[in-house]
Amino acid sequence: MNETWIALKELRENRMAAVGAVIIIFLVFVAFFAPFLAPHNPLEQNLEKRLLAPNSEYPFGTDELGRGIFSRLLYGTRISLEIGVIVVGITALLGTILGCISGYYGGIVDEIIMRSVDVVLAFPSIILALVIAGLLGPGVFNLILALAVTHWPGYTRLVRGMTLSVKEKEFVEAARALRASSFYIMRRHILPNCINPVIVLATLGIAHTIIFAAALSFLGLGIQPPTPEWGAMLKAGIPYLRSAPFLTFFPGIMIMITVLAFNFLGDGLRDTLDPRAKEMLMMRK
Amino acid sequence: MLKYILKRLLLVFVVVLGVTVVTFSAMQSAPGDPAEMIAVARYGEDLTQEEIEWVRVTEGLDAPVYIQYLGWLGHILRLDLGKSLITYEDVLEEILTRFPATLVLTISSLILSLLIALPTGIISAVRKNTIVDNTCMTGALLGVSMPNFWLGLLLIWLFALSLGLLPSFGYGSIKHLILPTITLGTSMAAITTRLTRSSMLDVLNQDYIVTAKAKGLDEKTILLRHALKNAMLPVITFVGLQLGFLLGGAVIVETIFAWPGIGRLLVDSIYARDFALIQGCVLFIAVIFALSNLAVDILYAYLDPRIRYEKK
Repeated sequence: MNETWIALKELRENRMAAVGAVIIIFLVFVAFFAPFLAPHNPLEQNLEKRLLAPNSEYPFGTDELGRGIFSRLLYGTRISLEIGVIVVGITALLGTILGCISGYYGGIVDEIIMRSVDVVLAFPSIILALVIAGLLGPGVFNLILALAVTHWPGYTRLVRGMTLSVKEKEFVEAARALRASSFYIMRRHILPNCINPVIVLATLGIAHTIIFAAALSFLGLGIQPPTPEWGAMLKAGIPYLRSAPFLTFFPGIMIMITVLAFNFLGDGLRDTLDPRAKEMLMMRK
Repeated sequence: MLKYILKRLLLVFVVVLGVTVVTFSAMQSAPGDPAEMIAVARYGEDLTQEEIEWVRVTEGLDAPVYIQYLGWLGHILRLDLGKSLITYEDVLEEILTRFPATLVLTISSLILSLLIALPTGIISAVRKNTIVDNTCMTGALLGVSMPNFWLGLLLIWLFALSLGLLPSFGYGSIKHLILPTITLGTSMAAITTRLTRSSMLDVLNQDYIVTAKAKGLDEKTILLRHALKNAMLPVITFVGLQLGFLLGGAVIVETIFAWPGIGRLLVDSIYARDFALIQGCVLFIAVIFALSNLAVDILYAYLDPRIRYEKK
């Protein structure tokens, strides 16, 4: 952990990462306090005030059902961050455990796990997510499941590679000579060595997941209206692209700012914590 | 070399087999009674139980799951992807008529992305940590973070609706190709730029570049003769892998621009819950992806002999 703290100190000097972190803290704040910050109820329809251009009462205008776009965007922060964090939490944990087991035990277990990784990576990931979400039907749970299925292999490959190299080190041999259990060795010696690259991958993974979730919702296969989700809001704005383009502008800007913030932070973390994670990320896309 | 190719081919075969299992089980996991859904799609809502049972028997949906899977696999090996559950069109034929449109879009996007990414990445690496480099890299990060469905809509709004210069959707002429290509190509260019830069930086730090500099060669010769060649190796691999990214991106871009490719076919078949067509599209895309990765691997091993010896 000490190393991590040193890295965090260095991180403060990395300007891009600092910008990313500040934006993320701000977004988390918005997500938490959306009910207090939003001037209007995000679900309340007001057909007399539909498709109003941005004005003093509705800073970003109103949508096709007269709901304030600004308020809906604030609530949308919640959903996107939730999905990003949940999916990355599940996949990073699962992927790390599988990678550790795969690298540590080797043999048939390794073969099975790594061939499964190959199979998942044999699909362009958005297509696999699309098909799973499409078949299971729309909804938050199915969306999370579809994204989780497609996002774990990156962590497994990364952690397996690191486990393979750490396994050969003298301190692991020493632990084995002292009859430490496999579980103890993995927990105390191998996993701590993998934590930094996993953090990097997870940060960039949140960015990736948020875009994917918005893309699936945009195609109508993720979060459904009337829930204020950015991708779904974009979709709803298409018929009004000519007459009311602000329906399309603002949700896209929110997605971009959020994703950019996580990418900034992830890039900064990578430079300070671990240069090796870069290649893994490249392979994953 | 031959041994290496055979080994890779075997791996591709295993992976494709896995792909069929995943695709098939994804179909199985879909909620609802498939026989009933097919019947509803074909004959409308008013159905008797007998009609549903009849569909179940004629479609072979009454057999145990593994029999259904093996039967399906047998058909696939004979290149028979079945018929659309709704239109009765032959799935493979349908896919093959749609595929050229996707191919045109992906190739034009690939070319556009390389035209942007290679010069930008190389200049960034050579002028590392200058204003030029920082601007290019910030631009690339913006490109990575911009959802391409949003970019597509913005382009439609600007060039089709506001300026009236280009058609907002459709297929057939170069004009129709421009907006989808920009949408798909720029998002890929952003990623490739970052890779080109880091690959170029790696090479520029190598001993032989230092030697070349010490010999007094001019910068241009070093860059073009020594650095570029070696830096391109990872880029080639990456571009090959990116075919999957392009095929995936094509799904969204084709949907926005009503481009009649395989991506749009897939999305439409998901909306219609046409299982045979979904299976066919997914399988086709995965196989194309696997084969292109194989081709890239072989090309890479051919270009860089070190790979062959390492992977014995």
